[in-house]
Amino acid sequence: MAYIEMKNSYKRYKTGDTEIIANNNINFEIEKGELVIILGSSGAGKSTVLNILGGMDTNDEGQVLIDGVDISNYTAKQLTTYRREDVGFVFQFYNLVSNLTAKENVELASEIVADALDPVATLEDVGLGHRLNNFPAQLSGGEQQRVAIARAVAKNPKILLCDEPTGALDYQTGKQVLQILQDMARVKGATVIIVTHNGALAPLADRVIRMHDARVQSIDMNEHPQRIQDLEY
Amino acid sequence: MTSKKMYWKDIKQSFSSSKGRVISIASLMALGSFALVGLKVTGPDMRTTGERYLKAYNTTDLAVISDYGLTSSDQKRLEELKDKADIEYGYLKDVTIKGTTDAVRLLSNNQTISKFDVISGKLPSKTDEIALTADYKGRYKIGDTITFTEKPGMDGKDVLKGHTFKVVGFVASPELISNINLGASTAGTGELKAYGVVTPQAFDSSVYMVARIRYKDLKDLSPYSQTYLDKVYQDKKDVEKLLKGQAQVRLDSLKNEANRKIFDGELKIRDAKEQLLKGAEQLQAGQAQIQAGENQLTQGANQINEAKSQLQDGENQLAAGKITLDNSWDQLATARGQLDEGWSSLTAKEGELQAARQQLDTAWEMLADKKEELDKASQQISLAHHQIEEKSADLAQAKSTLDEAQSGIATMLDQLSSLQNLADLDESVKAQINQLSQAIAQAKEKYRVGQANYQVAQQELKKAQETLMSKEKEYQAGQENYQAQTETLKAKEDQYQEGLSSYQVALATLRDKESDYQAGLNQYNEGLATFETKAADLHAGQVQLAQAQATYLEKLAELKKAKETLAEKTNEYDSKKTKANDEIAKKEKELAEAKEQIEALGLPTYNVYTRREAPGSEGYISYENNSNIIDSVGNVFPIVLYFVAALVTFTTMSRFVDEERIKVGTFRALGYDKKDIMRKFVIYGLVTSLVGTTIGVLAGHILLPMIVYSTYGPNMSVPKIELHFYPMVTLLSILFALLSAVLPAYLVARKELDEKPAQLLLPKPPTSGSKILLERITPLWSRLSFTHKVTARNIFRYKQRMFMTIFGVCGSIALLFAGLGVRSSIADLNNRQFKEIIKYDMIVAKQTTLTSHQEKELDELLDSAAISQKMGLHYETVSKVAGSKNDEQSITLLSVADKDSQKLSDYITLEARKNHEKLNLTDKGAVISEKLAQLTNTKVGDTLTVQDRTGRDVKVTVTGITEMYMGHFIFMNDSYYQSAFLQAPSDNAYLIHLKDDSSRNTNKVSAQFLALSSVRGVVQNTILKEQVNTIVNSLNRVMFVMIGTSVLLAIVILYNLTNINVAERIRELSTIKVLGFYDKEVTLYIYRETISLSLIGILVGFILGLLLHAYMIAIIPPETVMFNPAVNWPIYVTPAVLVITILFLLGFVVNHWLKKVDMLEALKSVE
Repeated sequence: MAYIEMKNSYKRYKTGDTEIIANNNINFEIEKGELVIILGSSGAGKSTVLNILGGMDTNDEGQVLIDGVDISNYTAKQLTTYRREDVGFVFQFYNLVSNLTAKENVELASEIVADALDPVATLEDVGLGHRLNNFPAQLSGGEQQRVAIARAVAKNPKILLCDEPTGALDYQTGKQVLQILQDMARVKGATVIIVTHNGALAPLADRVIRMHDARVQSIDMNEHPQRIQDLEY
Repeated sequence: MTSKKMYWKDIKQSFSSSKGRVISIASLMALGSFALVGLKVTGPDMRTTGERYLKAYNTTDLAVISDYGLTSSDQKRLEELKDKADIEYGYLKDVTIKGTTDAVRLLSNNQTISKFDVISGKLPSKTDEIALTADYKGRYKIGDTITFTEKPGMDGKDVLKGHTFKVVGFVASPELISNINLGASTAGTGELKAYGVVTPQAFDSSVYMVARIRYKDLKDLSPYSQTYLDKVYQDKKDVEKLLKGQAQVRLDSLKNEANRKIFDGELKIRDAKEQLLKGAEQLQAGQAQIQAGENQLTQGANQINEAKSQLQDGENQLAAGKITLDNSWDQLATARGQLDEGWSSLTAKEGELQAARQQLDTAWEMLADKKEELDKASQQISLAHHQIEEKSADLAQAKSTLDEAQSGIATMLDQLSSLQNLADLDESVKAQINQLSQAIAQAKEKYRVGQANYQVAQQELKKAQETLMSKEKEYQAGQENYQAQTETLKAKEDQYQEGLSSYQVALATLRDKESDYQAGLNQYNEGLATFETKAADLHAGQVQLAQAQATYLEKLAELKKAKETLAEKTNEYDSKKTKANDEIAKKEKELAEAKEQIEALGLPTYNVYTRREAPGSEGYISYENNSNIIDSVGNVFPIVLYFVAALVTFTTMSRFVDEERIKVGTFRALGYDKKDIMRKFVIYGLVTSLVGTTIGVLAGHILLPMIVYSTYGPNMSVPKIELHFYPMVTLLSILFALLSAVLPAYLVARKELDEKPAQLLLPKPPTSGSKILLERITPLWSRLSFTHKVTARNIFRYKQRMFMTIFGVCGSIALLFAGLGVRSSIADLNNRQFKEIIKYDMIVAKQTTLTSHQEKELDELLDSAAISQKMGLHYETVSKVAGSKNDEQSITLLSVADKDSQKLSDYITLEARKNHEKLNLTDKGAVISEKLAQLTNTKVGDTLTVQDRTGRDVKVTVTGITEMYMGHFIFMNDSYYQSAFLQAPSDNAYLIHLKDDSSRNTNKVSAQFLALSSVRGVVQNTILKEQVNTIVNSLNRVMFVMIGTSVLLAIVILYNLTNINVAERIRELSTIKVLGFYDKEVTLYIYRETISLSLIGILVGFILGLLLHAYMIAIIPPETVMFNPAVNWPIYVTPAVLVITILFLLGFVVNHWLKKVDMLEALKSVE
């Protein structure tokens, strides 16, 4: 059985009289330690999938099995616990707490879980050992995103979910960030799921899930994912 | 313009999207303006109401009251004010409702000054009609009767003509406006409970009790204005000057009058005594009369007894007479019988005599016949005798022959005769016997033949003899017979003669006897007649006696009656005498007492009272105090409150404009000009703040006055508070609203608008994190947990919010602290004052001089079981003009005997408030109460000048200032009194501890004391307590409103700040939510800051609160009251707990909000 399974998942939004279906019978499986990229244009429902997988949102129908446990019926509190212990997030806009130093931002996450990684080590891993006590405003976008990644990773989560992690970054920095994420999967064995509209990133992934119009269009497996250095986009 | 439409839509949206902020700003402005307007308006409203009321009923400016009333001489003096003022005189008297100890002041109806406000019914028009205070409306109905008990005045006379009145209406007096604290009374429990209006005719007094003076130039002044006060105090001084010397005049005339009355009384007593004597004399005369009557009666009785015995004698005599009469009657009857017998025998004798005569005559004739016969017979006999003698001589020879034979026979016959001698018998018989005997024997035969011849001869002789013999014998016999007969006849004749003579004698005797009888009869008859007369006399005497007896009895009865009457009269006299004696003794004693009293009669005091000082002015003062208290609160409280509210509003508005930054940029980019943008913010600020301010101004104008009115309304007869509009304070509120809501909007917006639209479109760079001071203190910082570090850093990151939170909370806390502190300062007053400081239950002031009887009465009550402890001391009221209104402060001066100085602590605690140092009374100076020291700005060692009752200045050196919250006091020992007053203190009062100090019992005992003529007055603590209670009540309500406002302020501030905090940091919160923070952790992440800041705010608030409290208790209390400045722990705890509770509840709200925050939504957008 796969590590992550989404089975017949539906998500509908109601605005007034019209019902918008954000996720329409989504089915896919993800194995442990895979780097997965969910591709799709804006409004394809990929973020919804990510939110549901991350326990930030719930589906209306269908199962979401994480490590064999169905989280689709979780209460808000269970979902919080799930997020706290099993999920790491990286956002497009980093969402660092501006009043906290890089290290503190990481600590913010590590403090709340039992088997957290050392924040300093984590930051060193993302190449920010020298920026520990800098505030976000003193960091560049890439650095901020790396802090965000460190924050996500420090919790030692089962799944690392990234929503357009490079969306706000320039090419070079974006690559750096992607490198880190890839390393997380390859080196640390984390299951990393990246949501992006940038198809150029697809070769990096072990598995590419393409979404269109709220449905899964295709699921492709890359036998040999490309190295970041070789990637051009 | 379509664009404009969008613009307005945006404005509308900015309201609807920030309801919390709109509500916050409006609430803050409402609270601020409510407190400001309410507190600024209520006092003036009250005063305007009072002013109009006082003016409407032409309330007197000054009241002149003298101890002994106002005479025409006094009136003449007051006349001098005529052209400056109106004067009206009136009567008043304190009485109690019969059967209760409720004191009621009866006032005469005023025509022009201090008119009564008729609430229902009408004013009295007849002497037996009364209109009662409207407060008694529930207890009496119109038409009810009410009866009062009056304690007679000094002269022992009732001032009221009648004591039962018919209730005809209910009124309110503009002079006595409090229903619960009408001040002291000389009746009942010493505390006036009510008043009533009667006609002046219901009073029977030669002097007026009060003069009311209403100044023309004061009519249009507000009685609460300083001008009025200054003027009225000047007028008061003038009147006092005017009446100077009247006291002596009054005393003299009073003494004269009293002396005259005493003289009259003495005369009356003398009269009474004389009358008694007269009565005794009359009784004695009566007694003598009765004695005489008794004597007479005794005499009468004796006479009657004498008469009785006389009568008895008479009766006896009569009875004897009767018997004699009866005897004589019997004798007479016997005599009669005898006489009759005599007569009849006499008649018989006569007859016999006549018969005898006849017989005698016959006999005589027969005798004569016989004589003849005898003479014939004698001739015959003599012939026969010759014949016989012839024959005898023939026979004598035959006889001698026979005699010889006869001799032999004679011998034998002799013999026989001898034998027969023995018997004297008839010889013939014997012869015959012998013949027979001897004839038989011998001679019979011999003789016979001889004899027989002889015999025949003899026989013939014999026969002749015998015949002669017989004849002779016969003759003889005849003769003899005759003789005998003659003799007999003669005897008989003699007898007859004798009989005749005896008849004659008897006849004579009888005749005598007859006459004797007749005489006896006559005598008898006479005796009978006498007897009858005597009997009649006796009868008459008896009748007389009976009459006399009846009269006697009558007289006796009369006498008895007279005696009874006398006894009765004597009894009556005796009882009357004892009564009269008692009365006389009483009157004499009274007179003696009256004399003593006259001796003791002091100079009367002519008191000139302003409205603030007059008896019963407690209501006036408390009303004014009430309004002033609210003013005082209004001078501090809303300023602080408004300041906090304005600051928070200011911040909120700044934040708002900041938040709208991108929108501003967009609008600018779209081509809206600066004015439009500016207008938006100005409109926003204006509308929100003005909505709030309008609500606050309205509530302040209406709600607070009504709330305050509700605290005093039921206790005062003042009309319902008038609501007026105060434009100045309203404008001020609006100005504040503009300053706190529109100004920041304008300022911040202008600053923003100076930036380029492009810059505006970019999010304002987030406040960069920075090291905070705390981090530099590594040992401390390193010890903080991660979350606390975060909190600490966040707190300092948003400095504006930090200050706002601290300031808001600290403001709320300070207001709460001050509010609760004031409440506690006053709440505890009665306890501290009347349990710990003033421990006595009452002061009983006695008259200056007491008669022994009064002394005894008083001692009895003082020694009664109700009283557990007492202490005699000198009590006096002195005064001092002090305070902002230049009122005359009445000071209770107590001077204790030097040896009792220690004992005083059983009744009053003398100690300094701050260090609780015991203060002792020395002969160096006096201990004064703290408020007095404050008012007069006196410190230990200073000299305080006070005025005694006569107006003399007395300098008192202050050696200590004692804790005291109500009333002004000066304590000293007798030695110091002597040296300060230059006169010896008199023991004229007692401090009293009751066994049962419940107010009911205190009232009871107080009434008992007041009922004694020896007691001048009783000072109970209740009046002071009431006074404080009224302050406490109104202040409590006001403070309650203020506390409520403060709590609301705290809520709004905390809500608003939290609201801003959450809105500002929603991304951060979403982030940590996504990171897996539980709801509680998320809430605490942000709320911990609020809590920390609030705690700091609380601490700072305490400091500010202490200052505010100290200020408020300094300015709020009226001049006789000091609030306890001490603040105890509940005052710290309560506001803190309140704020923490608000924080806690708000925490739940925040938790709820954050739970609902859509973390995805927040994370999507770019800052």
